[in-house]
Amino acid sequence: MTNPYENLPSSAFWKLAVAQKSLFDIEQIWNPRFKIEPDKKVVTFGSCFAQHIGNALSSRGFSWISTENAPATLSAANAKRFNYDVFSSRTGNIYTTSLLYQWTQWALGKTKCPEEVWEQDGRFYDPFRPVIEPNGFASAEEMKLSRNVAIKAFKKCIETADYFVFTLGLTESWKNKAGYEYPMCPGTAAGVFNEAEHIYENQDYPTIIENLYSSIKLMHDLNKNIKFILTVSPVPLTATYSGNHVVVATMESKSILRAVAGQVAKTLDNVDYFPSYELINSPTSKGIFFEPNQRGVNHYGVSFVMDQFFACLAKKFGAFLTEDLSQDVKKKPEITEKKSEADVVCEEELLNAFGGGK
Amino acid sequence: MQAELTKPVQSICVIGNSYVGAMFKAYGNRKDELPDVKIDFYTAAGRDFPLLDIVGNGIANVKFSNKKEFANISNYDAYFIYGDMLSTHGVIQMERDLTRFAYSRQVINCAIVDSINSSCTFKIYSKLKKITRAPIYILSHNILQVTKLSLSKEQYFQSISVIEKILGENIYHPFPEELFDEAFVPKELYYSGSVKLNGQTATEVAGHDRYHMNELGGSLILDSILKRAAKS
Repeated sequence: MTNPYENLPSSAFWKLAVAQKSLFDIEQIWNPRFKIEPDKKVVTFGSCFAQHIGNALSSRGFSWISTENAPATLSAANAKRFNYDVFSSRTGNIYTTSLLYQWTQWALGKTKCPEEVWEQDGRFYDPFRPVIEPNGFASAEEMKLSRNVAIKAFKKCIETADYFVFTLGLTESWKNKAGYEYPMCPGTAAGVFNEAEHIYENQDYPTIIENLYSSIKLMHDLNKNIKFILTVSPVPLTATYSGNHVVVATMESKSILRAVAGQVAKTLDNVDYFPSYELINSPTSKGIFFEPNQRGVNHYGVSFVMDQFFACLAKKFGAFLTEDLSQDVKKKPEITEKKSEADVVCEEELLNAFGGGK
Repeated sequence: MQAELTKPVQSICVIGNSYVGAMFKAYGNRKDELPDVKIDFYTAAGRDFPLLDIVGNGIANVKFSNKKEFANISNYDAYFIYGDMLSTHGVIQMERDLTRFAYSRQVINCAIVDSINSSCTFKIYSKLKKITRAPIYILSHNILQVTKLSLSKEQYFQSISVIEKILGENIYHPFPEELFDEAFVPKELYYSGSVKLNGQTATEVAGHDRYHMNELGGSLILDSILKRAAKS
């Protein structure tokens, strides 16, 4: 051997793995750590992009579970309107690792959910799930009952999941000076902004990674078998309060989140990282998977990402997939449903309303 | 709002499932008393009921009928659909069950509306509306004898209001109050010795099957629909 690069596989070289291939022939982009079998229970939480993962797992015969179900007679359209089966329980978007830690602490009874309620025009909103019900709740009591159900359902997800898929979304956050965090800045989806109480924090790498480690540890304490798959949302920020241009803020945010996810996956045996972020955002895809607004991921992109997910699993563990599933993952991206940004419930999108001249 | 009838009714079309059996039997035995009105039945029991469909001006997948031709059912003076739609008691039971699970009021309301809108009864109603201007009335499914639900008058009529609000005025045809005791529990008098439509026959079900009414109950319902149809 004259140098260590000699014996590397072709996937280690841009020229061989990327430049000389069509995007759709890029292979082995993920070396999955875990053999995710179709009968293993998978839960998904996180930012908007996580919804695509849950949908894809379900539609391809994997055991995506939801522990908070809509009434049996509720139509699919209404179930979605009320945010059932968007994530594995009705937490709403969990954009940051600190929010994940907050939910985990509530679920495990380590801390109590704050009593804060937002009232507007006679309707009551959950500060931690501000858009979980259109038009809010009929009373504060009804809202709290609903939230308690969600917290219990989140706990059940931790208890029963084989795999916990978490999509990291944001570094920017809004907190109450009492210490708890909101998923949305008060005054955007609901509530009233109060400068004296509401604090902005663009979380840094140490804070984000510590919260993620803490969340994983707490969940693992409850469920020794749980494994984690981290992804980073490829979706740019709707808006930034950082003072930077939104492009710069997006890149900084995603870079930090990507570094966190990678580091945690390296250091913990029960964590893997799946490169959905790279599949959408790297130069190889040339931006073709974004909607015209250059922000939402189109259905081609979602299909491509999930095709790679299953293809890489099949490549490494192939024998465990049924014949039908194996056939499915060999296909090129095939659009069976036109699901795209419009079909995803995205609370952060609400921030669009506050930009001028839309 | 569905308009009231403005001319004497001579022909009534009843579409339904096995629940229709009791009324069919009563009609069969009382036909001579009702020379001015003819009732035609188009039914399919159990799992066949969802297959009933309005196709063109006719009705398809009928399993039991007193007619031989189903190609045109668009010319009746009034229609009654008696099948699988959520009942007054069903609405209240659903509200109680869902409230216990801490669903919000909004979700519960939508679940009730969706239950009614997704019923085969409602599907038939929606399609019938396209082929006839005659009034179409909807009965709910039988209020089961097994229900442990007892209601106050206020609760019962409130539940009727909920259903009417969903369907629109003058569409829902409630069961006659005589069927119930003072707690709106169905009287055994009208259930014991049930009759149902089963495949291609109207059979007497041995004993009391607790889902279907007997001929007496069927006769009561028959009178109520004749009365409704005769209003103008």
